[in-house]
Amino acid sequence: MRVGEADAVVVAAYEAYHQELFGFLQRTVRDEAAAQDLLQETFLRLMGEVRSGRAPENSRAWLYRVASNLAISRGRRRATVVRWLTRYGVPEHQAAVEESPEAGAVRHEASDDLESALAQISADARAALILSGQGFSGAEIAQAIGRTGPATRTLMCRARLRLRDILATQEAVR
Amino acid sequence: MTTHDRVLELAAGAIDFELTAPERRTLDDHLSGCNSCRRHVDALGADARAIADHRAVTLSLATSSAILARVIITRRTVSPVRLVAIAALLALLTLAAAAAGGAVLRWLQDDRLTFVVPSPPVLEGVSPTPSPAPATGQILFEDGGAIFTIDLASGAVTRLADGAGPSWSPDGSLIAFTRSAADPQTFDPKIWVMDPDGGNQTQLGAGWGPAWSPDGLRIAFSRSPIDLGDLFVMNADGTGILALEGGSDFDWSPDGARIATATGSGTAELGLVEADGTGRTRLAAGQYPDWSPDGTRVAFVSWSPNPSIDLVDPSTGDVSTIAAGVGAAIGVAWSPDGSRIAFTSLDTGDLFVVPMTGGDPVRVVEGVDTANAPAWSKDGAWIVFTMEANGPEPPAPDIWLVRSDGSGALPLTDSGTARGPAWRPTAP
Repeated sequence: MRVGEADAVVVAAYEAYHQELFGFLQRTVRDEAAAQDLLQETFLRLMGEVRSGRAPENSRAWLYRVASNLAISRGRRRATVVRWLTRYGVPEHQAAVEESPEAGAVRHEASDDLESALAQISADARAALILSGQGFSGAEIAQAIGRTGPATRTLMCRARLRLRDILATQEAVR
Repeated sequence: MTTHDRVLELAAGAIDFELTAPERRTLDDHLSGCNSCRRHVDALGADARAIADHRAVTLSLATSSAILARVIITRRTVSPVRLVAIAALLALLTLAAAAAGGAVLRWLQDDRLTFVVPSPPVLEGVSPTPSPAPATGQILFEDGGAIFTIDLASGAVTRLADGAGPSWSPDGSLIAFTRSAADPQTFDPKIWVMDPDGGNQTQLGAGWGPAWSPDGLRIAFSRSPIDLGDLFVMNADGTGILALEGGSDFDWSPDGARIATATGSGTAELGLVEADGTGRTRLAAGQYPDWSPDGTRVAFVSWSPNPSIDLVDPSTGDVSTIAAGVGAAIGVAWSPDGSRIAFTSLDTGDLFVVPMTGGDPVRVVEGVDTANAPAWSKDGAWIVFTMEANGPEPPAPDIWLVRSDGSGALPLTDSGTARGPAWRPTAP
């Protein structure tokens, strides 16, 4: 069997962008295995598009949009699980650790103040700030996370100020 | 909200968004007189830079290859393998009676064959003219990580082995295929061979995507789908591995002396490599090479200036275009008698057949979904191909059969995971 047809297009996009996308996903969902799954899902969707003759014009932006959506909706699902668990008597910190042991590890070890601070803001805010760090403009980020420009600006403003508060507290502790 | 809070919000917003002129004035005016806010704003900028500078975890080559392999090789794995073969296929196709009843056999993963739906297949827009050539023989394909054959005469589906990318030996007496480790985190594909009934499974060695030489004595393969720049040839028993300058998109010349191969993606280069490893010649810019049965020309897809199906004469390098204006073409396949070329268009999803005598391509299957990977029956009367449902979900390919004049299109599977169909070269 040859590398078939559309596969080559996807392989090229994979070679160009999979590491930076993985970095983005890993930082957004804070779970390497989950990030690998989402990376695979992102490229499976690209494969679907390309094979359907709808190869995106700007594949990097398209990949980030899909990856952001996947990461954020995963974050929402997890938040729902935590709410559900706490409602049924599982203490919130335990529920949080249940659903994300590595997040707890990051918090407890505090080996990386910035990442641990990022872990304390919502998944969509985190995704937005990391996208910004990867060079996307506010308008592009809005498109990626599926919000309006003004809503994205508000989300990111609050997230940046909140992040600063958390980091300032950490700096004060040391 | 205090002025300080308002200013900090503006400063945070300014990192990603253009402020309006009044906003910018408010910010600048305040910062010029407020040391505390200036420090705070500097810290916000430093945080943003720290986020950008953070070195993310990277994937190892093994893991990234494994993920790509799963994207390319595996398909939707949640649904159990379901295959539907049209039991009365032979009768139906021979008589082309659109209303002929067909008992649908559903093959389940536990190897039981069960009658489930005794309903006639729908043949929209097909005139029931008698066919001179009934579809017979066996079609080899992969579905959900396993390899199957369908016997067209009986409709029987046989599961042969776990694996992917099956390829018939030229005399139809053996099947080469790829099998990866059961652990999905590991991408360590091996090439295997087996008998057409799945017996005598033998591992030959590491490799991916085997294709037999026309004399059946050698097998060309690559190491992985990720590296478009590797091509190897070995003896059919797995010995004598030779590295060639080529990629995983290749086709043996009919005399087995050379291999046409495309390297690189996007601006792929089509070249000829000697199968004994003695040299490489550039042919043209393009990919998806397919040799004419008489070995005098290689059909391929050219992308520049617009997508077209071109022919190149390997002895002179002369290139001519035989089909253009049909969108991004893929899946080029020469008919066994060399009189026609089948190809599919990514833009429209159509399956076309273009006569070598000249003339426009004939649309054989209109692409409601995306047709791909056409393969001809030995008598040139039928084409088996994949059809992938369009949509946001991962590709869901199934295998279809159609007469080369466009009549009698029928699905052979309904699993949404079947691909790589190939007609058995000689009748069993």
